[in-house]
Amino acid sequence: MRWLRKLLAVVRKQQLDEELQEELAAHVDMLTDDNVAAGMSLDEARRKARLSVGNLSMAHELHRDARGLPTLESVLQDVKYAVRTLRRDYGFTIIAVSILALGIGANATVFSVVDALLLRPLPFQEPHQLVWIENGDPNSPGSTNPSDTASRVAVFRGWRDNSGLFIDMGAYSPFFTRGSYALTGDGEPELLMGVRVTDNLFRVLGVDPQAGRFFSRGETVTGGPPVVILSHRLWQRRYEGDPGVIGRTIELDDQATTVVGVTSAEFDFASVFAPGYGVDLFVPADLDVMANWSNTLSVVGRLAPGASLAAAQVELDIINARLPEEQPELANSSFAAFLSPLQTHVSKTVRSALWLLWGAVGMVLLIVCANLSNLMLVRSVSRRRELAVRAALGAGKMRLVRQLLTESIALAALGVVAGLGLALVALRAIVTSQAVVLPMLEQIRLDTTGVGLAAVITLAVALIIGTVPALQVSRRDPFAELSHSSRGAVGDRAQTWTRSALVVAEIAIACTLLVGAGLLMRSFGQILDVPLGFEPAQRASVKLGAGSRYDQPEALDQLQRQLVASVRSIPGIEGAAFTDSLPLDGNRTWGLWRSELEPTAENVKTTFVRLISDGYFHTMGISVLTGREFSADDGADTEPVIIINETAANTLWPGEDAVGGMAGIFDGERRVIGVVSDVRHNRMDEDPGPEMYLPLPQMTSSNTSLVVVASGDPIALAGQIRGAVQEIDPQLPFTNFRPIAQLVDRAVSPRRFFMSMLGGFAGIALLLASLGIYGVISYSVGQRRAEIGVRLALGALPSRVLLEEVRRGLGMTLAGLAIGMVGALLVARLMASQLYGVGTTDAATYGVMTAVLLTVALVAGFLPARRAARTNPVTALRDG
Amino acid sequence: MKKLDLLPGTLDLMVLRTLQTMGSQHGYGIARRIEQISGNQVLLNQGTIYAALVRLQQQRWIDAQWGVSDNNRRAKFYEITDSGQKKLTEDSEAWWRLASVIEAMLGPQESDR
Repeated sequence: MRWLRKLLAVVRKQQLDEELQEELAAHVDMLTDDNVAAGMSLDEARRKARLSVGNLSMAHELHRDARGLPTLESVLQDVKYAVRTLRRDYGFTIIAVSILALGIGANATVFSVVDALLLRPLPFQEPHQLVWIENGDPNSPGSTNPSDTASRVAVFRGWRDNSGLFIDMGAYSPFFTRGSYALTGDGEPELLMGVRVTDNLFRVLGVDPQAGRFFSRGETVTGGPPVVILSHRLWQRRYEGDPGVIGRTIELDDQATTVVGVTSAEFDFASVFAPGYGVDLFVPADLDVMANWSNTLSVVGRLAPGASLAAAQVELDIINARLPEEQPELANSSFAAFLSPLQTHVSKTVRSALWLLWGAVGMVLLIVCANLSNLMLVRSVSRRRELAVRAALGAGKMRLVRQLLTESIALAALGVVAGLGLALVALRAIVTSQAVVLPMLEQIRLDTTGVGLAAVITLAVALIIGTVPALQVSRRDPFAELSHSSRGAVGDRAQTWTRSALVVAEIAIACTLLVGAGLLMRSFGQILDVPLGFEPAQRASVKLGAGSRYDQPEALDQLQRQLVASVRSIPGIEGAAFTDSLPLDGNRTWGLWRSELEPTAENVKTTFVRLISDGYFHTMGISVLTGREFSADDGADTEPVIIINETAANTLWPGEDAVGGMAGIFDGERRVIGVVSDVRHNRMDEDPGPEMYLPLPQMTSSNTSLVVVASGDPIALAGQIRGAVQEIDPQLPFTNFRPIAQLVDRAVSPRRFFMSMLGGFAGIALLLASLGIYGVISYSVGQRRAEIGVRLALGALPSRVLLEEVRRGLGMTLAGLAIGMVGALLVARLMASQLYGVGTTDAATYGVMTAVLLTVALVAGFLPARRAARTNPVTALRDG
Repeated sequence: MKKLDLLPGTLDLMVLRTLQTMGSQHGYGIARRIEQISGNQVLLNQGTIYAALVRLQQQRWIDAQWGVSDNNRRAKFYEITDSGQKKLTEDSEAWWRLASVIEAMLGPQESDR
């Protein structure tokens, strides 16, 4: 209570002072009255009265100390003084705060991303118990193609039923990105993305529904009631979060389906398992039906408490060895189980890039430290006189330290605030940007630990370097310092050395970052230059899935032919065709072999599959190398045909003409009628594997996309295309008509993200390093102004002075470059996995970055050097 | 004879005692009273009395209110509170005990010798 009253007294200072003033005045008046009454003259009475009251300002001072918090008040005084000083040196303040803000902002941003993706546990119950169980194809290790990583139903069941170390195992079908569900009935028809999940997947993950319930065992078997779970996003978007939707029947693929539950807002399936895609629905996975297909399940298991990953791996290996005997259908297939913590799996694709980014941002922080230290050092020298004056006036050493500390803290506070602002803006941009495809994106929050850490480190370094030299003053005789003329204040040799060393370090770090960023940029350029095999420009696509109204193959074929014909007739459209999966947009593979050979593991090649309509190659800009493409005549009753890509042709028919050969797939043999160019179907940075194309009329699918090529911008024709489609069937959903280029953008998005982040950091580093060079040279030039004046007066050529100063800058730059290049070589090795088409010692990158750094450094050194050369000897000598 | 310097804390005690005997009083009145009682033996810088007053006020030992003095001047009047009375009793006791100890230590006064 008393502290509160004291604090209140500090706040109400002015009012209390005024009251005291009045009280003291009354005191003097009353005393004067009494003195007059005692017989004094008025003047005498007043003089006497004043004398007995004593020093009024002293009374005020005592009063303040008694009622308030003297320590706090002197701190406030320090703060006031600091603010005044910082405002007076606003140039210094702005630069220092900007540097701090850049360092802290960059660190806070990256730390927040790292935290969300790598450090924070997944938003599931006991996430450390969750294990990702991946199949593996010995022929393509490390493949990201779901056909390789998913497991067969029989294998999944074998694990689930025989394992003792797992409490439970759940699964989903990773091929959902290719499929879709048409939502019709009330409102605009819409195509939704739905994932088939086992009834227990949510229980395994340990998430709760927002409303309703999850699936029961009876709903995930053949003939079970049609049920669906809505994602929180769809529930909000389409049903405005109405809890009454539970139990309601909706039309999904022309089938009345009951909504049984809604997932919670925190559970974002796609951000964990399929970043970059949106998931709208969950539907029951009918394992009995899916058992007839090949690898269809991505498996997540929950370990029993205390069970280790290694033990579980051994257990599943043992089960795998036994399975072919127990389940004859598995006799000829190869499968395996590779276990990894789910968290590791989720962040797998970005892990090394993130560590890299974290390292880079740490380097930026180092530069910030160096730069700030340099600034503080310069300032401490120029403030020696001020501090000496204060010491001479009786300021104690502690008081000076406290004042410098207060100033640094004020500076840091400004820097932290500005840095936080920067980080917030950056994070917002990252999270909301459609172009950034990262797992767990929605989980990114501004992490204050990161901010605090960065602030403390920066400040500690700057304080030590900035305060220590300033304090040397108080150790010395302040009068000696004061009697020094400013001409003598060159700064000691040690300090000059420190400053140069700091600049060299800055250049070295900037050089390392520049080369790293350069290598990433080169890789990115290489990726963008990769022959895609198709033309993204002027092309767009829309998912046009037909519901069960068209479950007869003939009806579907008819519909697709009608749609294509109708769209092709729109003016400006140069081609239209159907495909069941677009490049870079989810994949599956089937086995392909030469039908005259036995389909053994050796002869069967894992091959990407596309079911397409005629005209697809022309529409997508894929070139037909030999043979012909599908025609409208290739139908259900004509000879089964197939088109393969160059890689498949060279693999299966090396040195021969594949056209005319017979290829085998699971449903029989097909004649190869053409060979087309390779298309990057899976990833931009993965060489295309064997690919095959089958005509839709011979292998129907309702999960199709319509692709169009226009003479101009196809998006401008969206309305007409939609009209043409819905004229044929108004119940066909026509949503998300998008340029094919978006697929390419999404595919390169993580790379683009890391490249631009690292590029930004390298830019900051370059800026700070050049600022460092500029600062050091312009400071030394300023200090030696008189000396330069004398030399010029004695006949030294200005060009010589210029050259000398530039050379000083160059010396530091070269030293920094030499160290930085060694660092760059080491860093490049660490980031080898992030590079594409560029060696870690790519001469062009190293050369260009050296040139960039040299140029910037030369300019930064040249500006102050020129000022030195232009020194007017007369004024320089006069000003001393 | 040189005037006495006040021992720390004694001014507070004097103020409290003054307010106890005189009732509501302003700063000037308190200062006058202390000077009178001490027979002008203590060195009282009258301005310092206000620091003591605010200190006592913050401890809630005294209360203050603006009022009008006998000769029609606006002044702040101070009054001892219940907890102030208690404090005064405690401190007086402590003071007497201390005084008797000091007396015993120092023995009879020089003039008595």
